[in-house]
Amino acid sequence: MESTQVIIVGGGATGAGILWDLSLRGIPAVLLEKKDLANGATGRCHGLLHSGGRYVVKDPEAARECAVESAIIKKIAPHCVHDTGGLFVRYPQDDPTFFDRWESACRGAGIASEEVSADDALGLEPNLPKNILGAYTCPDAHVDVFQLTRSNIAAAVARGAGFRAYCEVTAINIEDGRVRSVDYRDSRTGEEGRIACEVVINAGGGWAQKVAAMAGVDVPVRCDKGSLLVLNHNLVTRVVNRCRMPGDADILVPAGPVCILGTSSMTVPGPEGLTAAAEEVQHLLDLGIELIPTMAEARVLRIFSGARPLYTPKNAGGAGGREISRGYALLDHAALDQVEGFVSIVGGKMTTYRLMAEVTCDLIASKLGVDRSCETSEEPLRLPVDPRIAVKARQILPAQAAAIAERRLGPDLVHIVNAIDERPELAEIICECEQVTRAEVEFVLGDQASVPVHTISDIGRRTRLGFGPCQGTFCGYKAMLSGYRSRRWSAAQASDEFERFLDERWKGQSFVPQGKQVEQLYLSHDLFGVTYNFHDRKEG
Amino acid sequence: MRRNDISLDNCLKCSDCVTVCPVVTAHPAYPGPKHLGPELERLRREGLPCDTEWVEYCLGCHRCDLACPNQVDVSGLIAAAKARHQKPFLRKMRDFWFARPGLLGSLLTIAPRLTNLLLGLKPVRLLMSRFLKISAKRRFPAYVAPDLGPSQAAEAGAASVLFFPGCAIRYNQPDLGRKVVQLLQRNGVRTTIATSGCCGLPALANGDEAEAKLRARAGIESLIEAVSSGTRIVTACTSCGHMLKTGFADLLGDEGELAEKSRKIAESTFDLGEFLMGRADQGLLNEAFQPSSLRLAYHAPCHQTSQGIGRPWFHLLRRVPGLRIEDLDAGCCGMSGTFGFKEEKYPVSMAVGQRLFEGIRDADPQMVVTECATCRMQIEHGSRVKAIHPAELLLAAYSEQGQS
Repeated sequence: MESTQVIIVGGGATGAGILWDLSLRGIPAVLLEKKDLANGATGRCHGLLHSGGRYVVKDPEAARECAVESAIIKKIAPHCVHDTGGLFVRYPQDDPTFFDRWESACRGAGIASEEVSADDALGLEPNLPKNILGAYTCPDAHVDVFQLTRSNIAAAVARGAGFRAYCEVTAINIEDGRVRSVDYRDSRTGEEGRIACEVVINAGGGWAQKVAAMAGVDVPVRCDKGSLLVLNHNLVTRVVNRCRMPGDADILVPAGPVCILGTSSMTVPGPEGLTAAAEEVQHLLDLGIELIPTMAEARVLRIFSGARPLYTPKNAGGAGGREISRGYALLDHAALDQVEGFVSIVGGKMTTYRLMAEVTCDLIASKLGVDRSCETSEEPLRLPVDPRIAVKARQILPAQAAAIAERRLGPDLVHIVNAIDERPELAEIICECEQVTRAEVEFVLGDQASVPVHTISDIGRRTRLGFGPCQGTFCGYKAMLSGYRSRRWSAAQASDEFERFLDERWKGQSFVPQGKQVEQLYLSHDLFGVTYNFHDRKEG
Repeated sequence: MRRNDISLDNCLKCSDCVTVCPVVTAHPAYPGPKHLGPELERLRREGLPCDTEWVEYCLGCHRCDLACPNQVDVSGLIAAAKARHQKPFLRKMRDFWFARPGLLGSLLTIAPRLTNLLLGLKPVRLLMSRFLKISAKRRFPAYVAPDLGPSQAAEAGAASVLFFPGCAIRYNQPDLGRKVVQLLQRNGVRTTIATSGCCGLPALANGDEAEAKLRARAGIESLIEAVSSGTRIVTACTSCGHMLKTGFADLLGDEGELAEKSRKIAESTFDLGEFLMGRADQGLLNEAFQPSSLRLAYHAPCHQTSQGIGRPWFHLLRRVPGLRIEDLDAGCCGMSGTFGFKEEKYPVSMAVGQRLFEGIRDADPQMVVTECATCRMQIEHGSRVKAIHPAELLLAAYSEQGQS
């Protein structure tokens, strides 16, 4: 039987961070993820690397953690961070007493902030409403959550750790009060297997309760749905927050070429099958227009919903989604439930994923008798790019495509450069909206990539392919052909993959109530519904 | 929301614009209007380095704008990218002058004979090619002392217009300007000649947005009074016409009062052919034409097409008895004002023009008719057939009895 020391369940930021932390401590580990990396709350958030400003009044402890952690992530993963800076804007319709409380709380929590006049704020962000009272700066930033998760996994895999996507845990086998092994099923091939281990870490996020149940343990997690709107282009160049007690749709994050508005907050039964109702979308848009009036005319690309997994121990009472702490909880079920070798890490935020991984791994290391302390706050997640390779990339690719590829691929850029050198046709841009080259798609499809892909959407999570305004209309079929030509998929598989990909892209757009994206969706429907007979096979 | 932002959000990536771009056809490596316009602009907003020399190869023909089913100002976005493009010093110097035909014209017509002598000398042309990257294969148009004749004071009861001559007519072909005035006079229209300078289109085409805005502002100020009192503006250069009709509003559309004024000017501007066609529809066109045996071919300039007025001159000339005229319908000539003069762009300019040159060869006309001065240069250069402004032909077609 296959065996390892630690099995991590859940491929979000936390699970990936644990995998990396363990690999640095020399503890063999395998991460099992039921879908692809960052499929849960990690991949369905703003991508806001919190400076702590948002929580500073309500939860100073969480704010302090954010301030420390965001600074660490900027240092260890600069390639994942777009250090835009942020503004907390004082709107005339908000409670003025909050402004002072916010300012003094920032000083207390060590969050660097400066006051800017209304005129200066409008100079920085001309799309802000003209009637604002002023703003404060803060070190908010955007983090590419897919890259961050991938980088953690890739770094760990390079040190010998294991990562398996589309591998769903079906049972946690316990004998004599101790975890012995984990059963899994490959959801793509149906293949089943068992891995022996000493420790199982439950990093299941919204699924943590379900995972814990397999070990006969109850971990109360409440799923709090947040819906977000993706807007076609950067309406702001910094993170814009409303300076008030956290509420709905009061953050706009410039996230790469798009910007993301969110969120709502609503308790839901579970993390799957989330949709945004029309009223919810309208509610978000109405508030978004208060934040940035030009949003009234801006194009909404898609709407997505994620579930914040909030840890709700019994003594928390009946508090609602926003009242529950954003802090994390590490549960050692040996002490709590007499299950040795089972640990859950729940709650928390994407910004504090590294800290959550650190405390989890400290516990695991002491359990396993490994005497190595955490190194993740110092060790860069990725090596720098060889400057000669970067120069060469700029010679063979257009400036923007080279810049994007360099940021995304880091040292792997060399594979792209060599591939294009050998076959210049690979320089073709196949996703125009996001400037993804055929070389990069073939790279992530191929064996050299340490975090392999299985579907076209997986390619999207690695490269942003299909994430732009056309939402895969003009690149999906090219990615399908790449998969087929590189013999990754048979003809039938390739066409199924394409269908699944388009279906997923269509779903995200179908909640957009009006405007150009609806026309875009119909263009896509008309092209593939008619020429590809999608509608005959399945309701698109 | 600013106009560009809306325009950028409108793109559905359908590539209709790419299919009509003359440069894409002539030069396969050219990334095309969709990429250079809305696509790059979106990435530029993210702060990515998006400068590319390709933006310089946009001809500004506006075919992409016409083809777009979603009202994307494709060429406007490319023009904005062109304005940000970093050029080598020599080309910057050259384009400074190409952007200012008004200034250039007023300097070169101080001593026009000397100018023409110098510009015709082979060593001078070779030096210009070497140091200013102006193709030695091109000949500059002759410069003539500007003399458009006196304005005719408006008469009670008679129709009157304000004629916007533009730089090519003012400095190179003032006789054409005088003929325009005569042609209007034959049709009972009194003409005042506008004192406005350059319309600003060459500045925009050469990536000098600041100068283009300056010219647009000056143009608006010099025309708004006449327009406000109900006078119509007539242009005989299709590029000036295009600029007055859409360029001013595109440049200054976000600037409140100026945007309003530029809309007023746009509504009051008519191409000369369009204006005469309008007279014809009202039964006011003087049709006392002498029979003619001319065999002509008509080329529609891009900036005529972009005005969305059909092909008025083609239909006007067909009213001359016996005159045979064929519509070449062969796309862009490739000259694009100063574009064809540029050393590095000359081959693309000629490649774009091939289709037109072949069309002319097949039609085998005595003359090619087209409204645009630089189209005429390109046609004569590429096909060796004489090219002429339609107003000259129409004026010549009037018999002596036509005068009242």
